[in-house]
Amino acid sequence: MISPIAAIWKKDIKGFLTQPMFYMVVGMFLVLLAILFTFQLYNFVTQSFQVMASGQATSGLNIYHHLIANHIVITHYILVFVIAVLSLRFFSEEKKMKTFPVYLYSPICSWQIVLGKWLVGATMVATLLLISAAYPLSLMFFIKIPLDLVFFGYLGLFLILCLYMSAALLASALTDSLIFSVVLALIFNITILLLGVGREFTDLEILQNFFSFVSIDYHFGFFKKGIFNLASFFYLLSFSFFLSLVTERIIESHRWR
Amino acid sequence: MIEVKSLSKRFGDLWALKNTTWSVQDGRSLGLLGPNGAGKSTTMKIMTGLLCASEGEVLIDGENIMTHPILAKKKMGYLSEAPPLYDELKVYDFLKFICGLKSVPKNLRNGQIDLVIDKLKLQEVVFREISHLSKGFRQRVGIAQALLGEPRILILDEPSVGLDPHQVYELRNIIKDLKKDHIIVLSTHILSEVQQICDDVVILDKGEVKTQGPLSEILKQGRGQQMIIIHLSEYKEGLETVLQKLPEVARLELKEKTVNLWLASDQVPDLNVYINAIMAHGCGIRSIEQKQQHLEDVFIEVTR
Repeated sequence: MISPIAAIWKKDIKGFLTQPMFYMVVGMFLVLLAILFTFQLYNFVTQSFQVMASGQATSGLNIYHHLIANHIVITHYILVFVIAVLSLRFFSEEKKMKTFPVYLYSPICSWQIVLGKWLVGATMVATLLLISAAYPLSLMFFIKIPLDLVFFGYLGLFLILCLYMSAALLASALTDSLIFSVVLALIFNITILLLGVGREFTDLEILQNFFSFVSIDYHFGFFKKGIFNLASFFYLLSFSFFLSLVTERIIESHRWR
Repeated sequence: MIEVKSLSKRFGDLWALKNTTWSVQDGRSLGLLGPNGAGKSTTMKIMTGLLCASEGEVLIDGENIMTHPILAKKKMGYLSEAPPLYDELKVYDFLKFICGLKSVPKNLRNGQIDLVIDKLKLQEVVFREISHLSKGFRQRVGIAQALLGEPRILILDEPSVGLDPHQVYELRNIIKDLKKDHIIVLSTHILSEVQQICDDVVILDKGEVKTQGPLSEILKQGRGQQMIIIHLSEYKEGLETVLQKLPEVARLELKEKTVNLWLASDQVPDLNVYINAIMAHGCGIRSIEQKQQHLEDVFIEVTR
């Protein structure tokens, strides 16, 4: 049962690591993050000095709330796009290169194919988050960092990015056009990102509550504050599971055409 | 054993397969023949679970490919017309990946990979990227992946297509070798390949089975198995009637001074019988040719 999933994971991870596009995208992500983090750090230090100079506080601003939480949010926005671009490898490229039938005539279930690909995506997300976390964690040499808050912030971000990745996986399963796959993944991810916007367009309290609950910001908010909200944890996981289930149905439908 | 029972496949309004029924017994190999669009690839895709049948069923050693696909697929290896290979992978890595997909136990993987590399003579390319392989080697890698997991059944869809004569010859020998311990279903346009490899034949045309059975029986169908071409130097009326009365004559054709006789026998004919009858009738003989009936003739006749 595990063997095909592990085989897909190993093959795809290796595939990612030998693709120049992967290094290009990750390289751009690193550079962008480095520039933005440096800029934020500069602002944070300046503002901290200003606060201390004005006598409003003795120890400057809170590093988590004024620097690291912002860095996590920026990482979130950048990765919405990065995930959409990287996701084209999941199924679209396999369909385009005509290697997809390998899965269909092999003695494996559709859920094993989807889980294998999902784990590849989750590994990519975790790797990108480790890269992102290296920036704030590097400050540990100079200042005390609240590691528990950083951990929960990144845990929340990981769950949200896995949700985007599931949506991108679905987009990739829908088409064999690489460009269309990226565009579709972006549309899905931005839609998920903006789920809570609906509350601005209604006066009905029940609808406002609904939009608030489905909003990514709402759930991310708990994690950013260092709160492990079980409801948010299950919401994000079950949303991700639902999208993966739809992907599994689409993959299964390829067998029965 | 493979059983194809009342198999039909419809694409929109078009019936690609219409109520086809045939089977392959253990220890035998079957050639699936037919012109383009006959339904050969569709049949193979249904057999391997790539397509769903509109009606009917395929049983692989008793396992229905639609209701028990995993069990059925474990029993067979499939080489499609253009084998889907990962160009960026090395041959060895690709075979290892396939072992994983087929859930070959880890302790058996290296042994199985070494065996198929040896069988298909892939030693010189085993650590080469698939994108750098010739068409012949790609086909061999395709067969190698089909052999992993030790399936009893091999389904080969036009394995020789696009290969040069040397590669065709080599591949044919490989398939002949595989025939010893596999049930083989072979789809091909090369009829001589079927004659050399297969025990049984199914000829499809426009989605229907036109004829099927052991190769030797198929060859007897239609005009007969042996053919004698007699070129006359002199012809006299009534020769057709004389020849038709001779033993084993299934059919004859007379064009100008050439007589084509098809004999319904796979024994070597006694030419003296025919020569004497012609001479006794007062006709002269310039030359006689004897020809083995080929599958090609049957194929053309049944798919005409």
